[in-house]
Amino acid sequence: MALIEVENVAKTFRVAKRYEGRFGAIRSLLAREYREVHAVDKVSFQLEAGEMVGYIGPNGAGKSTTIKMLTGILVPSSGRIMVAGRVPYQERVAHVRKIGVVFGQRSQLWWDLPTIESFELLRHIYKIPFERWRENLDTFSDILELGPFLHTPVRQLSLGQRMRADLAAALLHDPNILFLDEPTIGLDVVAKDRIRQFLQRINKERGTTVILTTHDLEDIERLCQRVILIDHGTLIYDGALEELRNRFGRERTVVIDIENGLPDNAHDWRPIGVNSVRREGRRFWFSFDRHATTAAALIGEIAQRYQIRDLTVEEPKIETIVRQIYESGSVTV
Amino acid sequence: MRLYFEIGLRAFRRATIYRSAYIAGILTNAFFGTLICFMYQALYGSGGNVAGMSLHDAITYVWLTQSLISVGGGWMSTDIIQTIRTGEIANDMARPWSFFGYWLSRSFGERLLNLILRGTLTYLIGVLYFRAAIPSLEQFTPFLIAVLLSMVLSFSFGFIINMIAFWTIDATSMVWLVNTIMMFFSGFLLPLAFFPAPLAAIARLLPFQAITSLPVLIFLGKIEDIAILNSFLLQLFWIVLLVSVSLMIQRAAMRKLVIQGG
Repeated sequence: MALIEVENVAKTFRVAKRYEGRFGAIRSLLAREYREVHAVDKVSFQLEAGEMVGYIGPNGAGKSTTIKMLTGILVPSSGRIMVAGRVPYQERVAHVRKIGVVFGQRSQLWWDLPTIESFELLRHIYKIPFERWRENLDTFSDILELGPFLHTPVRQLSLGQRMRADLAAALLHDPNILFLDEPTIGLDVVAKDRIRQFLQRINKERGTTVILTTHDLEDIERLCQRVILIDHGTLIYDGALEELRNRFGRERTVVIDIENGLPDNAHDWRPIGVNSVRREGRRFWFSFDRHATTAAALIGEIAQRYQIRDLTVEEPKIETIVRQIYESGSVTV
Repeated sequence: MRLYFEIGLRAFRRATIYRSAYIAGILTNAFFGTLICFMYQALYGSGGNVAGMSLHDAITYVWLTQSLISVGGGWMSTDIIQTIRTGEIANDMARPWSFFGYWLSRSFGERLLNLILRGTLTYLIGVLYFRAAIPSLEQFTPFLIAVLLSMVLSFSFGFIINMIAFWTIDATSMVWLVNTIMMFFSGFLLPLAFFPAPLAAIARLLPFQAITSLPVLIFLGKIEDIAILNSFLLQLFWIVLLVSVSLMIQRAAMRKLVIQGG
């Protein structure tokens, strides 16, 4: 049995319609009309223990809603969720004892108190044996460099420091599963890197299953072998990141700088398999379908007409691929 | 139990940080205390009793209620509503604890500090400038018990009202309305003894008098002997009722849970 089983899960919110205008507020109060928002619509997937999965999608795709259902704080409208043999919302307390959660934009630390106070409270919340707690705290302090601000009130921490502290807080009780909702949001490159390294280590050394939602696809590229992509509440891709690139990233671009002496018909010429040509001065961009031709063949053909001075082949960025999928709203690219 | 003690301890410590808020609070309470005392002094004139209360009783009553305001006597917080609105509640829900227990201990820690610091200092001003009564130990001990009971009581009531935010986004206006009703019927604004008979009868049927009026009357010695025990029982009755309702509404809220933000 998989660690996490999500089967045909849907979540529909009823949102009260608001009326505009002078008496809008009163009308909204008296004549409630609702419209239904399908935040998550029949999503299914399974996760094995020890996996590290990226859960991605544009804003409002239903990522956080899914995470909230998996953590047991939101009840699905239909479908079935099992995590470690439990239905999360039915056995909420037993369930949350075994998981760690970080909502990137909302800290779980006590804002006005020194960071260590929150860590100490967590020891009581999860009834962590003191030795184990101490050991974990030392390890995390070491990797995440928490030492310098353990006794600083949380409100005085930088965003990067706060996020590191939040991560440590979510892991002190040795959870089996770690849910991360936008763990690197708003962080600079160095801070992001530190968090990614930490997550990698936790996943590898402790076998903690990690599910993270993010807008930063570099997180995914660095951390996850598998991605689940949702949009408008529906699952549109579930599989290896590499496969996503192969299937949807068919377009490559050859960038060529040529020597002087352009032939007159340079503007019209388009080799077979090339979708578009762009030119700026002596630089050309040939975008081609990887299935229609190869970079080698294309370069050969170009070399016969022009004298090439310099050339590069651009791989599609995962970012571009995902954007294309979001924009087209489907996988049938 | 240890966990809830630790939560309360942190809430207590957290409250100690806001010193300027404390001073501002004490000054506000002292200002209103002074104002109402001047009014009573003018109204009582040369002396006499009104509805069984002497001027000295009335003055003590004013300073006590002002001192108890931050303990729950005249004001309800919207802390839980805020966490529902910001979605912060998601963190509190993902914990292996009783949500009610968490907030109760948090509020208890905060109010305990309010009682010890803000309440005591405010009352001290009343004692120094208006000769508000200094109670005997026999009066003070049952008063303290009554105040501690009223803290649980007013918290539970506030919890129920705050939880309404699970069903509507405009719960804050509800809190304001209920706050006004509470201030009036708890005897915070005016001793219930001054109420016209029908209103006083209504007040006695509501839980609010057990929050402010009962502890204050014990302090004043208007409730004595066996009546003190009865008043504790009444408070306990309301606590059992309101805590049960709190837990019920909590269960319903969990089921219906809608957290803001997708």
